[in-house]
Amino acid sequence: MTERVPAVFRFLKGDEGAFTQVVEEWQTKVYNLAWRFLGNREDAQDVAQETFLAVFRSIKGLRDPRSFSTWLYRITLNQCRAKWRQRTPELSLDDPVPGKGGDDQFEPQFADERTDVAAELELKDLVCKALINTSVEHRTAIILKEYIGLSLEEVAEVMGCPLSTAKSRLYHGLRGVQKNLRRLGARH
Amino acid sequence: MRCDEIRERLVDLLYDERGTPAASPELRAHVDSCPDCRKELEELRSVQGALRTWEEEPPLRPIRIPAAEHSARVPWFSPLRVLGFAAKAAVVVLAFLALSNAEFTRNRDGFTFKTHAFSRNLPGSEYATRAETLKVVKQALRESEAYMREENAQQLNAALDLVDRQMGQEMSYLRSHYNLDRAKN
Repeated sequence: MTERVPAVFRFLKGDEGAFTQVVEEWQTKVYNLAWRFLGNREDAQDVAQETFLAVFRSIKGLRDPRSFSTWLYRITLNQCRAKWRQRTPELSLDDPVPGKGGDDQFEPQFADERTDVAAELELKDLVCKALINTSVEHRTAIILKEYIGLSLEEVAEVMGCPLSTAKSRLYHGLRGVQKNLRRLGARH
Repeated sequence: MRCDEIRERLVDLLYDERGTPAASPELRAHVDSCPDCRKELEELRSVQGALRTWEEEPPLRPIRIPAAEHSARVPWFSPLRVLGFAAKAAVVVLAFLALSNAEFTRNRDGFTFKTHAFSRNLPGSEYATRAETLKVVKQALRESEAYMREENAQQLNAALDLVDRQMGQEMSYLRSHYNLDRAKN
């Protein structure tokens, strides 16, 4: 059985067109990582764009193409941290929930659906605020584990810390989200 | 096993992954027997559930790589790269021809090309090197200086001779007048 060669390998071997495929394969992961880190879609879009430009410029220096995903997540997180330092805080726990009247507003057609869907949207917005208001390190650990789906060892590798430290950050991050959700009055 | 010692290790039970050290039997036994730790594990699972309501979305817009960035990556043997090298080589050759006083002439035998970049090694060359030119100029200066010195000496001698002659004439004039006066007296 012949295995399809990943686009990253083909690009590194000189297939210029393969980079478009690299972007197509990874853009959703990168965008969503940035969105969860920053809590803002436009900022996430900017970070994703900058990340792939940085990848394009420096991919030739990647020693082991098998570690591409780890490398890509590190670049994305660096871009996120830079963006995070630039922006003014928008999602304080004391602010109104952004889903109410914001760009995430959704009007269900049927009255029966309204309660459940609205509650789900509200919980999603509360989760967004709760996560954004944790520390950068705790948030990073949660995003890599819960949303990107990395193993604990991979989380430690991307964050450049021992496994025990990654577990500790994850535990305290989850406790931080729980605490924030309580402050926001979420029922989960 | 104390509760505060195992709290961070609840992550092992929460994920219970393959490839990582499995949660120890002691940890499991403690959580099974400790209502507080069991409650905390349940709360962490509840937070996990809440986090998963934030679902993945596609990017707002497709990621684009600017054309200028893309075209900057030119393969080693592309026509564009070869053209670039050819242009650079042409500039170098033209600069060399200009600096070496290259000559293109057409005669009965066709075109001839001659350069004077290595005239020092060509005895029949009409062109002199910088050092040779300096040597000739210095020699001319030296010769002109010697010539001027000789010319000046001759003029000085002539002037001295003239003075001598004039003084001799004046002395003979005085002497003749002196002799005449003495003869009268």
